[in-house]
Amino acid sequence: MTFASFLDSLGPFFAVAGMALASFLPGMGSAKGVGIGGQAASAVVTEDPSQFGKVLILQLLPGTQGIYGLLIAFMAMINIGIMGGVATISAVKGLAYLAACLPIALAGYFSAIHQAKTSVAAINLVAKRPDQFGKAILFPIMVETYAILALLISLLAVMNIGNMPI
Amino acid sequence: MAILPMERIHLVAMKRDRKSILEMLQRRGAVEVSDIQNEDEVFTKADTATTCGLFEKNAETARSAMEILLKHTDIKKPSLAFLHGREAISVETNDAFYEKRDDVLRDAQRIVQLQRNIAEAKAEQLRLEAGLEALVPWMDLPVPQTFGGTRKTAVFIGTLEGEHNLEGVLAQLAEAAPDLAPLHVEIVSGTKQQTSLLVMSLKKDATRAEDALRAIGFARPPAASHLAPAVQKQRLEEQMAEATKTVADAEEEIRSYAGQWDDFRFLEDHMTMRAEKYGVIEKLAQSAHTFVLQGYIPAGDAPALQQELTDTFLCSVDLEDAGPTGDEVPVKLKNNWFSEPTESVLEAYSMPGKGEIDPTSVMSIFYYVMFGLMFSDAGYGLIMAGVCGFCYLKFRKNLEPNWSKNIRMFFWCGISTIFWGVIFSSYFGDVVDVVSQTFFGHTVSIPPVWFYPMEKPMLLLVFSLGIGTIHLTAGYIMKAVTCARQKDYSGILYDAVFPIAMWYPLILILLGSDMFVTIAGFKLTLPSIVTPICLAVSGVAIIGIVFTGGRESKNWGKRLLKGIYAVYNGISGWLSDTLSYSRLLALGLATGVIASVMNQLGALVGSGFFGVVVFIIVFAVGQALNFGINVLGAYVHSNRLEYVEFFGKFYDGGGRKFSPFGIHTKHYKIIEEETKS
Repeated sequence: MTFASFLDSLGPFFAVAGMALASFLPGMGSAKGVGIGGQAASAVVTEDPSQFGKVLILQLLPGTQGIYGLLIAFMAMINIGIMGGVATISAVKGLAYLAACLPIALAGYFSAIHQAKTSVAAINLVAKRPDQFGKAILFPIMVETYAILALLISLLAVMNIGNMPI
Repeated sequence: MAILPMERIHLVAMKRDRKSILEMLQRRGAVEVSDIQNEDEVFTKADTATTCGLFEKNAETARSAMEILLKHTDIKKPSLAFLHGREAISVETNDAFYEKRDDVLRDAQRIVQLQRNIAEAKAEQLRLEAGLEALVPWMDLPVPQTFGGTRKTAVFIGTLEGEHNLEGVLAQLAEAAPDLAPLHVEIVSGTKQQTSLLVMSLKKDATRAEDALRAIGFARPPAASHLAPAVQKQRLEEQMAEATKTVADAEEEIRSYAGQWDDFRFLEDHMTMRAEKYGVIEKLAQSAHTFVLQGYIPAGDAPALQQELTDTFLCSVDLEDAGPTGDEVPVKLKNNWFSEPTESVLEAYSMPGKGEIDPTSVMSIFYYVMFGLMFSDAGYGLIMAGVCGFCYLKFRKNLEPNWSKNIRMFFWCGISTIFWGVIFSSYFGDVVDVVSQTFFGHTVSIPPVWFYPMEKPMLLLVFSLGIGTIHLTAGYIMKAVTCARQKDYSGILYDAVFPIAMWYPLILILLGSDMFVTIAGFKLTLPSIVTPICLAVSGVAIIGIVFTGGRESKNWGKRLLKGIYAVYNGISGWLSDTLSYSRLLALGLATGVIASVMNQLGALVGSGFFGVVVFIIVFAVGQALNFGINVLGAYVHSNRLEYVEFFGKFYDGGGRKFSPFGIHTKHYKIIEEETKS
């Protein structure tokens, strides 16, 4: 096997690397995010158990990035053909899948953590003023926007790479 | 879509009727009582804070008593209590309770006291246990631990750390005090941790013996008793039995109150109601024989209440128009059956402020549509609409207003979800395809009414942005309506018409471009004359904004700069606001794709009995998880699109919600039969 043909055979590897990044980076971010949200939420429930429902929602907000990452990973998996067992794609295409996974991988990881910090602040807000839940939930949602935009680009890219003549 | 007009009510009546009038007003729940500020020589205000505090404390006692009863008896709180609402009782039942309230309160206090006794007895038991434990090493000691010796001898009773034998102790003592006559040492008991000793010396050697003992680490037992250990043990055991009996007796007595469960629930409500009533009394102005009450009442309820008050009591009731709601005057919303459920979404943001309109009805349509688009699965929608519809039909008579609103809101959201699910062919993802292929060998698909989002994601993106554009336009139209309501007619042109006139022609040009063809997959052929017209309209609007965008500044230089900034802000605002609706696509796809992934995971095992079992388990767990995550996402992002993108165009809020003096109880509500006749 020549070096050039070895390089070209790496297509599936690059694609799977992209899938891995898309699932574990946002997953890590969400795990950390939901974790710190949960600590703040527990503290509130200690004082006022009736706020459980509200703080639970706030805690879960940074959990969506992990789901988005999973979604991209699965979409990539289906598009590459791993589910069917035939994954013969060129190195360029593999790299394209890797690149397509990066938006949700990175934006997902960082937005989950920043969203969690905002969630913690919102949980504190709800603890002090339970009637302001509607506004409190808005602040973490603002952060989520950027995860969704990244998800959108990753999604559209992953879905369209298959049709590219490369 | 409306804010109810409010009237200000002034009631002057005799003080002897105060109780009856206030109780009637409380039962009607139609008047929000305002605090009368000015006092003079004739009219003064009562300070009822102490009484209020007492009632609240009594309500707390009732609550504690019930919690204690729950712990000691097999009374169960009903599950899903919120669905059953409060139990309705008649005025007579309420009055009957009034007679026995003091007895019930005493019982509640007794229960709280008993619980306190139990806690104390349990603490005592712990203390006794520790005492008994400490006695164990001394059980062979025939004298009390404080025994000091006889006429000629001194006795030291105490412990050494670690395990020692007699020879060891004697050797250590000899080393510590070589010139001391040998002491008599007895080992009472020994463990690895400590050795208990009795040491005897001649009285004249007592001081030196004690020094020697201290030098080798001898310590007297803490909390030594003047009774011999065996006697002491017996005494502790007696006390223990007594404490155990106290606990058992108290628990028995608490259980005997189980039958009064409903009385305690009533007591809590009764005290809460009276606390609220006394809170109102504080707001009244009172003279020696009369009192004055001021407040707000929805105009529609006013004449009936006025009639009823003047018919029943000797009093004067004046009504006057309260003017625009928002600042001082509280806001009460009134919407039709379709929009009313989303009032709580508006309330979570803010009630309409002064001069603003109630956006609920317009908001509700978009809310349902966008929620459905993001949840977009017919199966999930069916579950949500089914469960909410069932709960509403079954429990609607007794549902509290808030729960009723929430349930109806999610019912409509569910209906919308079914609609979009059918349009885009998502039934628990692709469960029909997967099941038919895995277990029956040939693929059956339900074709979408419109298209598969997975096949044409760009088309769905354009559709989402289109819905966003309509939503934003609706926001500008609401702005125009608000301006018209405030008679700010130039505002309609500047703040609503110009932004729309600036943006729409640009969209039209974009729709005709080649880029759109590649995105949407179809071509929109526009006559060549359209582009210049569009540019002209847009240009005029932009110039308009340049001149009016900073119209609050007097200085023309400043004004034009602000105007240019407003154009930049307008264009970038339209752009970012519209793109924000791409979340409709992203979350909609996420629901369907994750649901499909769950199905495929379930089908991995293949057909056969085992395969079916695995599929059912994976399907149930996976779909439940996806349902939960996505219903949360759809809910929060629908809220966001309404709050940020839509309300941002026209709505500030800041109004105060109408909160009438009423019966805000937990367990019962009082209904009056005579009102029907």
